[in-house]
Amino acid sequence: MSKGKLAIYWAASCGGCEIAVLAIDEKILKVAELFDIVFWPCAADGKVRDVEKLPDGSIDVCLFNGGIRTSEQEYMAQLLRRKSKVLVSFGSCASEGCIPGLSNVNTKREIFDAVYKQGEMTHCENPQDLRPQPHTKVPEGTLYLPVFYDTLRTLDQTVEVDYSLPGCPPEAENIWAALTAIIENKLPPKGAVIGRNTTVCDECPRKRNEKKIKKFYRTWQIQPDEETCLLEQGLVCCGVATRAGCKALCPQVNSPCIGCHGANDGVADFGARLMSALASVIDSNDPEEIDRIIHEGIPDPVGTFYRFSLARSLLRRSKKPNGVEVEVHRPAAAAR
Amino acid sequence: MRSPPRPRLRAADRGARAARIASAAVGAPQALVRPPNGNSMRRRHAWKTFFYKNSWADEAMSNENFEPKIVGFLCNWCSYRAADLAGSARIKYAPNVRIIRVMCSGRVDPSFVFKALAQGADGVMIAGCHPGECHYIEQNYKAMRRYAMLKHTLTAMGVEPERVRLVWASAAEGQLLAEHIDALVADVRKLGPLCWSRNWEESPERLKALEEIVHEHAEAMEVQA
Repeated sequence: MSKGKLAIYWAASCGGCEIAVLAIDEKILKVAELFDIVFWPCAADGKVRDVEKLPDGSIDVCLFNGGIRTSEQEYMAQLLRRKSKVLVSFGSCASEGCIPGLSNVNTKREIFDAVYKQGEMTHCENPQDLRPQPHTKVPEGTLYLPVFYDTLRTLDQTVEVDYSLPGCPPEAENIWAALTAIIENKLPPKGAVIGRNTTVCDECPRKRNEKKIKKFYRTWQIQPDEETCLLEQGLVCCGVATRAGCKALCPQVNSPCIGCHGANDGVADFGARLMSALASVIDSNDPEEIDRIIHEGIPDPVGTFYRFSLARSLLRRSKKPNGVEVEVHRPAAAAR
Repeated sequence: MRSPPRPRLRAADRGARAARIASAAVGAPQALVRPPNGNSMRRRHAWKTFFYKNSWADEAMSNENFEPKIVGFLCNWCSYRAADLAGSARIKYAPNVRIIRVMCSGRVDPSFVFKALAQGADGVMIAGCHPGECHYIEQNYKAMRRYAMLKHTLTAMGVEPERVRLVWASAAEGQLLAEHIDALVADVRKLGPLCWSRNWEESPERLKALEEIVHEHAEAMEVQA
């Protein structure tokens, strides 16, 4: 039997997904037995040029982690889509933006200001207020840098995706299940999320009673009881909206679920589902008291409800102050 | 006369093609947008789409002739009947609201509101029975809490909270509902168009950079052995 071809690529993400692939332990040898790794910049030598030369559709499986933040990443997503038979959006970043996607509350200009301007946040020496430019003319020719986008997009907002694997990072078990499905050619229908179709609450061993809360606490404010549902105790636990598959790891160590597995099937917007669930357990019918409970308990609603899924949400990002910002070219001479 | 059939694309090409179309839609200069020609059914549909799309865009661009699009989620037992009453009593109110009947204001999930705003609505109205009068005992209190939560999040996302409103109107209050609708339309008109999808646009540099990568690779990466 001829070996399959496997590619693994890394766009806007932390790199944890690359390591998560190795968490399948000795089964990685099985993977090496069955697949030729044609492209995995993190672990094996390989050039984009080599991928460009492959015939279209010649890679059997491509595990793509990370969101699309720059033009280079978008190009790689399009390239790997063209070259791969099966493109899997691997992990939370590729599927729903994850933590890098939270930068969608800012624009490119604001992000660059924070990074390159001398300010309170960074202490970089940049008296001329220089910014990275897509083109720089040097005597030897032009140097290119990728264009940084205002809005981070998920992989499936950029190219057609066959399957997605949830989790930040995906659980070893799920990775192996996905690889097995591919090896044995027992793939679910196209577009499916490879994982369980239920919520974290379903896997959580805590005792649940009727939920009525007068105050939301942040994790550092209380020492939660180990037996009772965390949401009942006033902690913002995302288990109600989050896809199962992690065996409720966080609630089991007395920490609320933060929603890294993303929305369950049939949920259009993770944050909306969570908002809806949290609002219904607030024990008050007085508008002013409700407002107080919400504003005191949830000072950062976007970070709480969309910690992993802002780029995937229905609104995708916060409102831009002035619509589309057009980059102004600065003379490269100023750089010298 | 039939136009020649479009070449079929291989499956692998479709993703890239979709991406190209999406890219083109973002940065296409106005001159490139041409109305479709021909008169077959499909073309007629294309015309319709073209017309609505562009009239929407024009409308959204200028504030002068701006007619707000409002989506209204009205509870079956009170507010929808109030709207009925307003109709049969010939009470005049702004025609900008598109009413969707739901069984209860408690049925309105925040995702309905997000979806409406993301797909072109300038404002959303949720209307239900007065507190204590819910047909389902206390679901309008849930609506009240969800609305508070929703407004908190919308403000953080940069949406003016005045665009989304929760009002109470009993089946007898056609006049009140009409006033609420008028007030919301007037407020949204003052705020101007929302045009949420414009927030997703990238600068035209993006397309240029994508093209350049291909050239750059072709030129720079061949190393003579």
